[in-house]
Amino acid sequence: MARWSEIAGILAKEASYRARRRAGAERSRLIKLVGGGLVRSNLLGALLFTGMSLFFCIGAVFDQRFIVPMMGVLGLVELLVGAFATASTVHVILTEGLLEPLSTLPVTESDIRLALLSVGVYWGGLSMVFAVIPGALLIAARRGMWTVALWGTLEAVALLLLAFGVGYLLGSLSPKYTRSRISRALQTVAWLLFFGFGLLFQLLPHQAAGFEGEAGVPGWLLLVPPFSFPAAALGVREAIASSLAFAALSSVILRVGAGRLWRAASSGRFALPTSAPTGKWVITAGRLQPLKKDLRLLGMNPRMLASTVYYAVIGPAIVIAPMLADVMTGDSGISRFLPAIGLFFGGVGGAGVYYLYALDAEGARLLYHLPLTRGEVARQKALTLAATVSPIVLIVGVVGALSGGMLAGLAAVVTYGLTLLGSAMLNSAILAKRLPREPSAWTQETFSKGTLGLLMLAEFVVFGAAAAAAVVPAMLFGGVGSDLLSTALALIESIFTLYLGWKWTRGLRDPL
Amino acid sequence: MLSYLDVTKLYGEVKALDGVTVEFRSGVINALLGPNGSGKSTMMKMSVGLVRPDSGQVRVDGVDPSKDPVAARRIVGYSPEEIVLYESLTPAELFSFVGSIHGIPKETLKERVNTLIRLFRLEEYMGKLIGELSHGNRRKVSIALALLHDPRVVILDEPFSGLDPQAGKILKELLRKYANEGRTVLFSTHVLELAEAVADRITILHQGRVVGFGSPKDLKERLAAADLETAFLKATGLSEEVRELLETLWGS
Repeated sequence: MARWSEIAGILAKEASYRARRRAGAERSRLIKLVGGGLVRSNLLGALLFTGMSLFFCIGAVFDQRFIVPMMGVLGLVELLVGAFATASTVHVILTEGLLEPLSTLPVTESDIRLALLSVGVYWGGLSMVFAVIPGALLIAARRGMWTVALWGTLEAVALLLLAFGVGYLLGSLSPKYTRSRISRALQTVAWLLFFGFGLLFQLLPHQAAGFEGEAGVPGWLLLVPPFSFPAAALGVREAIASSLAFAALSSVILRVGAGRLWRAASSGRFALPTSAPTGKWVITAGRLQPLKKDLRLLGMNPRMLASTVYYAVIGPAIVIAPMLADVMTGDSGISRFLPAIGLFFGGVGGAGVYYLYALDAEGARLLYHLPLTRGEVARQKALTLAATVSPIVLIVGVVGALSGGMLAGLAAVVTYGLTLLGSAMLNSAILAKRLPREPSAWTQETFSKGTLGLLMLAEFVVFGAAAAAAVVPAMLFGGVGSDLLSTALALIESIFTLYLGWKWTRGLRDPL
Repeated sequence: MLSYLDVTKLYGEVKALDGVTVEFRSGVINALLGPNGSGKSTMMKMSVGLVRPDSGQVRVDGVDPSKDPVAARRIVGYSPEEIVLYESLTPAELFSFVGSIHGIPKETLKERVNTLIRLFRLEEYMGKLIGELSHGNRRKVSIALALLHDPRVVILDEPFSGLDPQAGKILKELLRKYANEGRTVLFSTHVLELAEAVADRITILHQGRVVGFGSPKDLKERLAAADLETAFLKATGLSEEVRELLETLWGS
């Protein structure tokens, strides 16, 4: 057996064991469902991606103009999901020190590269290519264009390599702590841009809408990978060159990423020089220390800071922006709906507290030695989230004031702030109650992404309904009186949310 | 005082503790000895409610840690064997945080931190990230954090591991001072010479059971051993095993 395959086998086994041991019952059921073997690890993802791929490409079967935009968008999905999944896996590999035992052995970088690639493919990476290939095959079979199948396969493979490479680079960045504020700020922006990649899916349809050209997209987009691959299949010469260059570049990025990851792993988690300046220090006391601690941890971890800001602020903003735009263009008087929008925005943002629990895993074992109840932990985390996104409260207020006057601005700020804090407390109480009894079991993986998804879904439903209920008087009756009633309803709902959150966290008296 | 009465703990089918009854008195230094996996850390974790006994009772100054861990953690200063601290914080930030959780007033906190960092010579590391510190310095921070709230019961799991001789000497003196002040002091170690030199009372644990208890002198006399190492091997029944292993490997 080649050395890289032995390394891959050990890494896969060890990571799987640790995931089972630490994730607890919730995760083990999932592992039983999909885990254990290359086929089973990729089966669920492959089915989901295949369904999506075929659905997206149905239009292209009947109209050639859809081939480039649809296969391009599917390629972006593969790249985004692949890079994010790889970055998360790499983060676990580094924080768990899975590669460190190998650093003292005579192992070459190419062995590591191949091992990581095969582990990535094993852990679900293979399923990523199903975002593109089934759709390409469908188009090829129905339209008799076999070049689409060929270029679609090349697109899927090139994007998989790039996703791994980008994932390695991003993942190997995140566990390091740096004193440099500029470096941390740049990393935070990089992560925000990465998370904001999803915005492309909103922008592309606008770009492509109404375009009557033969390829269905503007000419310049035909040269941009991954859109260049289907364009190459349609015989656009420049796109062929662009796609081949992109495939080569993807291999180089994979190589660089794997090399960087290996160096990060073998040099330990902290590459800081021991001669780093001591820095000034001061001992402070008081009730705000837990908040200061969490904010400091957040500030030191660009990935988590970006995640928190994204999920608490940018994510909900993306969702409500089109609604807001419609309301504004519809000349319906935005100020009438601002309190309800603030209520919805704040309510949905509360799920961002999830990231503060992942963040605290770094030293959570210490918390278990301290006289802390779960309710206290829950309140601390909720306050940290509120403090983190408090600048946004001001922006909401300014937007409100500009569009509807000072009173509307103030109402939006109050409903947003109160609901955010209340929702954060509710979410935090749910998570704190589910924290493991065993200190070492509180890790970044303690709560799965599925938990975050469920929380967000529940909030969309609950606070969507609450916001809808608040706008009913303004929608139905009009006039100043009904607007005031809508504002009052939104305020009452936000106060009730805060009360509920406070009550839940107060009721959590169990110790950690 | 820290007491265990007929305490049993099972991890699956493995008995980590098997009917342990022992009392660690205040005013003396207690050492807990035992081979790897004998149940020492499990016993210590029980004192702050991190592990609950399946049966039996644990009491820390009258408090049951399994029923009221928060109250127990106010009494006990516990430093675990495996040091896990927030690596992106500085020791100063960590002291401030832990001090606030214990509700220590600012001036008292400053005074205690200053004393502890001078004792363990941590002044120059206070502004560095924990992640930048050596293993020994992290150990010092962990011990200092455990002592920050001036606990009545001090429980340190392998505290001397990784400490330089100077810090080791300081810690021994500190433990003696705490014992003289009437506090309960318990530490675990694998270094028998250290236990013999520091501890007034020794408890030997093997396969989850107490197999030896008393002062170093008592133990040696009772087991007819010239030194504590021999007494330890006799008490745990490992002396024969060691002899057979050496004979098998080296034929001597």
